[in-house]
Amino acid sequence: MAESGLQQGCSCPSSTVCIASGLRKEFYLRPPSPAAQTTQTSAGKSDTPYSTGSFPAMCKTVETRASDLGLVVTLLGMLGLLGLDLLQVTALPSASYEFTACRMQQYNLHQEKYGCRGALVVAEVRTAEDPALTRHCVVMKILDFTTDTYQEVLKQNAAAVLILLPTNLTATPRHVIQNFMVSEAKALLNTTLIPVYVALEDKSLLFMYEQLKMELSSRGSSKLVRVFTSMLTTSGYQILVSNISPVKPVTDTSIITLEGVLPGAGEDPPTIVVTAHYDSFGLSPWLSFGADSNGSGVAVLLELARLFHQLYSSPRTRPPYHLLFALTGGGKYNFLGTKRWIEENMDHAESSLLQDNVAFVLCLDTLANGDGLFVHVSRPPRPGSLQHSYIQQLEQVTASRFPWVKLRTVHKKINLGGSTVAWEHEQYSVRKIPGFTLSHVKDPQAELRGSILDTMSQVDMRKLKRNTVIVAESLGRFMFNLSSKASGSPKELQLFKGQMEIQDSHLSAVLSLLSSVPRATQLLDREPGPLLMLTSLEQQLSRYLQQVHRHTFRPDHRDPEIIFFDQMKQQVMIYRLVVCKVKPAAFDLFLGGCISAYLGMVYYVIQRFGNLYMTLTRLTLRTKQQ
Amino acid sequence: MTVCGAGDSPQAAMGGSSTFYRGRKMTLFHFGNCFALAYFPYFITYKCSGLSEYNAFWRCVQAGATYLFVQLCKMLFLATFFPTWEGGAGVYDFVGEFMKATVDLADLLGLHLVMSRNAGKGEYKIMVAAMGWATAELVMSRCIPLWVGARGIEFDWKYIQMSFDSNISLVHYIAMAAVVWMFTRYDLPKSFRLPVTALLGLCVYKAFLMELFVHVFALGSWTALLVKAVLTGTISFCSLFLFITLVHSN
Repeated sequence: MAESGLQQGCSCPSSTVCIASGLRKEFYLRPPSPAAQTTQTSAGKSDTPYSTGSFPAMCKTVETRASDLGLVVTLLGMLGLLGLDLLQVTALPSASYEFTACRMQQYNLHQEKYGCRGALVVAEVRTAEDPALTRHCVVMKILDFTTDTYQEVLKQNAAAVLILLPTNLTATPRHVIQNFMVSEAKALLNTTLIPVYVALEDKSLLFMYEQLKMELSSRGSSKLVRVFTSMLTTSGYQILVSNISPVKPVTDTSIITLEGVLPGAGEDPPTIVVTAHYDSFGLSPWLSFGADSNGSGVAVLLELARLFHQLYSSPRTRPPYHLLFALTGGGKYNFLGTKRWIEENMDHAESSLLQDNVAFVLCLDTLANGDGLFVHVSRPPRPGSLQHSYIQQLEQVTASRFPWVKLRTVHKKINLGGSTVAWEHEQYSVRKIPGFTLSHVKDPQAELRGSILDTMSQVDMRKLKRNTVIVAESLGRFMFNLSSKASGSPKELQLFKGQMEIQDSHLSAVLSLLSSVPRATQLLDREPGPLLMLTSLEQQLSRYLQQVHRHTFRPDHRDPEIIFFDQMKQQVMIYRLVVCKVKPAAFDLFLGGCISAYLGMVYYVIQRFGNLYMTLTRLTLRTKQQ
Repeated sequence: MTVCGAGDSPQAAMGGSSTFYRGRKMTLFHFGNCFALAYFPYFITYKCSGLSEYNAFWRCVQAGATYLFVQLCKMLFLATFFPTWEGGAGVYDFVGEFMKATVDLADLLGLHLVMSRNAGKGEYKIMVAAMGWATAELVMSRCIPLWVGARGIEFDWKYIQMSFDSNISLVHYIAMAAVVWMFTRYDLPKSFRLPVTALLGLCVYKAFLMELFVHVFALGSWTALLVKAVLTGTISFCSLFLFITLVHSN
């Protein structure tokens, strides 16, 4: 073989061009000796580097050019990549974790704008305690979502807000829930460009939250150190919202009101109207379940319908009053459904029970908690009026059966020029129909009336049953005029007992059904879940009442009272947020620096390999000689 | 940053990305980092070993072509004679993997083929064969994953590890070529037969041993890389020592 000849010339390492030497300058100072070259006597494979015009020479030139080109390309490439501007074409990052989130309310009521007007989010995630929040998405638990924090977030012009909602609210302390409701109400009063999203807590999101908190706390106290470490070592999280179409307004939301009647005995008896609004309101429409406000009102109304249906079923026990039940929509938006229903009955219907001879209207609103009951009136009832005697009945029943419950009358004048209608009875009072609202809440602006934390777990079923008992008993006694009869109707007389007992299984079943579905007005006329719930309510009413009608009120196209916005209603009402782990940009530079140092070391080692080789050779020769 | 109002164009919103997190530009830089880490030692080795003086470029390319051919034959062989193992998910099929590793003997044959076709000194042959072989492996098995993966926004240490691994492979192939060369020399002293054969076996089954270690000791990725580096270092040091002794024993 050819190498045998070569071996003879390789006696001394320093005289031959040893490939393993790695000392470049040796090659350049001493070109390969022709002697070494010509001993490559393999069959036809000798390559003389200096012959021109032949394939080997061409190979050589190409090869030098290629290797030099390679070096240049490598160096330039590193610089060029830094400034290279690539196509905008998307590589959306592969999702590390994907989840759904619900956007905050966005609506215009009578040309006033409310809620958050942004939807798109592309930002890095930080927690609320981070001092630098600009252009980041702030993730908060309900503990962190206070008014001050929210104001700070808005002031610093954050990119988005993500609120994590615990799935199990029973574990959350009462004051935390209360504070959240307060900040929620304040946040809804204004309009903001920043998208606010609410998502349910789960393991991955909680893990991200904990990671961010840990990183924040582990940064040093000095601001410089913090900035430096945050640039290099933070592994941040980035949030991305998939939908990029702009938010469109929806002007054709219809409001649905259900009604039914139990006709009374006698000729042309007066009418008692019992009404409750069934829709809900909260920070985010898809998460507003409204158990207490006003699922409790609807539950009480249905229970009343059931009980009085039994009473009305036989002519001997039929009271001398028509009982008209109404479940109105649009309650959280100035009781729009009520207003339209009254207009329909008073102005457009030929004959209606509302048009004349209404004893009073009893509006049920938020009855599932609290240790007191408030009767809200817009003007104090005149003694001797039917309204007054009913309120007296209420007081008597409460005093005799539940003496620890305080029943109070609250008188609030209707503010005709104001933009908000406080209670439902005010819509009736404007049309000169006497009415009042029964509620355990004193302040109409109470946060409980429009919160996403108003869920089944916050409801006290015993208090709901107690309130139902109070309303039913007093209504029954009023209709049969029981208190004025001298004897034979002691105060402890219970009308509804035995077979006609108020059943809390019914109450809790209805309330569970209602609070399992989000009943925000913008969802009720188009989403299948709420629509189904509405149909079941209608069915329940038809079981007990007669002449059950469903009124659908469509808005005026040219001047709708409420304008909702669509990226809550279409298929992207719940956004998919993609969170992935990224490293800050400076990290790449740092890594690049480390790699350059490593490569420098490699270069040095390879250069010095020749020395190593010679040292080893000397060592082995010395050991051989010994 | 990118808040989209009711009428804004979403494209504008997407384009104005914050520079504080890694955008698409920086991930290409990361790809550049990994590629440089992988490729630079090859380049330096090529330059410093003086192969450029000997028109070795096309010979290296030929060696690379031989590598491709050998890999193809190996894949066909494996596909034909080793059907997919349908055993349990967690069970590590020692015997099967061992048999598969045996097929890597074809690598040795390939290296021998390359070296026998090149005329020249021992070192020249070894370096040409090793450089061509290792560069072909770099291009084939590392460039595509780096291009696809390191450019993503999501950061993963495995790309840096892959680049380090290619460095280790370079040393490994040089050692393997040297051992093959020594094995095929007719004037190899008897006392060298055993160590050379042992080193040869170790080279071939190094991948199998590495998988065994990772599986048995449940090593992390960085630890595995370290173990691989140590193993390769040992092999190459032994082979270097043997090579020097052989070459300078005359």
